[in-house]
Amino acid sequence: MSPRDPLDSFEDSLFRAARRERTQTGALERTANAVVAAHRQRRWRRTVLAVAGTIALAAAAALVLRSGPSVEPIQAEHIAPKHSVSSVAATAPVPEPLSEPEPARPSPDSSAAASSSATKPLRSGLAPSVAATTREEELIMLDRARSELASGNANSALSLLDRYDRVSGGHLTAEATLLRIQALSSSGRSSLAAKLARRFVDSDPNSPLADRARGYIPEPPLNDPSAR
Amino acid sequence: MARSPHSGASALSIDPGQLAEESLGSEREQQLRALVNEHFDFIWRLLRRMGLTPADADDAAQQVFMAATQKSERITQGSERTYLYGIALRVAANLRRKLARRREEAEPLAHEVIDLGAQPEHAANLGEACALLDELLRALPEELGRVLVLAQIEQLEVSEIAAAEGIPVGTAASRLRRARAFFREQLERVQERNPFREGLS
Repeated sequence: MSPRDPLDSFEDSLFRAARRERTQTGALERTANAVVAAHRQRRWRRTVLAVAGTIALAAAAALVLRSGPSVEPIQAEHIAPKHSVSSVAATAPVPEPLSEPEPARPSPDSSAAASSSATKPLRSGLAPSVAATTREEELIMLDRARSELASGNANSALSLLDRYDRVSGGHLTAEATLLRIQALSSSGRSSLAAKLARRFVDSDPNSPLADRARGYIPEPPLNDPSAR
Repeated sequence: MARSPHSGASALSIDPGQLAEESLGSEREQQLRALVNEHFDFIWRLLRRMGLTPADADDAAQQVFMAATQKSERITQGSERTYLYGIALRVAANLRRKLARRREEAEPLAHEVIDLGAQPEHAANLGEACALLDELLRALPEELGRVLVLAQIEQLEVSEIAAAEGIPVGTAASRLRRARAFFREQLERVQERNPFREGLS
């Protein structure tokens, strides 16, 4: 067996010394503790953020509920239809003109009511709602308005329809307009009902609901070519 | 985080979700501790061979593990060492740059004596050996020094070195050959300074 090359031995010794070297200051334990402490801190921060997020969501939800778009029980007295001109038609005493206003120059109220319901997007010009409603939510809202109307509470139905206009995503615009026509008529505002019906029929004569709307448009007097 | 088994009625009011969360947290803490226990020496030695003093290696190793565990979801099972190695290279490079000016004025590191757990009379030799080794490694191109450390000190296979360095196995093998040859030349140059000539093995 030949003697080992001293250089090999020297090299081995150096590398072996390096392998045996260890920290002697407890750095391993300190590092482990620091890593765990940092981990706990991150978890705590995440928890705080999650809680803050939940609170923020709850606050946002509360805001949404307060601002209107809800299919939860709707209280007509809670509705503040400041921006809905059609609500004025529904709730304010509107002096019924003795004669029909000129079709070319309708009153701002009725014009807005008619256009907002029949020709423009529902939320056009109104306070923006926080979230668009689904078709199902709108169905529920209209069912409630229909139910109010069937119970003889036309004004309440109109208030609900105002609310529908403010918050809906426009899935059931035609149905809502027909309901409004019916409610206006039931509340004694047949002139406004007729005006809205006329606009509705003009804007969408082929609507399946157009025939029912036409029933609210009085026949023009035979000797009055200016009517309609 | 663990609840005392004797906490009595109050334990009954603990939310099951909270318990699960705490249990998960505790498990994660154990995993983190295991990670440090398993790889700390490797990282510390590596940092030492990159020219850091023992005290700086202590700090740098802590930095490595703190950085690694901050985004621990990036560590895939089985690749912990490679991941830590990559971080260690960056931490060492940053620290060396930061300390360079200070080092120029400091006492030479070569004579720093470290308690290596050996017999007292041998400890100085071991410290001297480490210092000499570092001197020789510094003479090598950096990428060659790294593969030599991984092969000769950490005793990794060529494939493991390749994975750690992020290079093809062939390249790793080639670098290792060159590193050994280069190191051997350096060793011949300093063989008169062998601290083990007296017979320590």
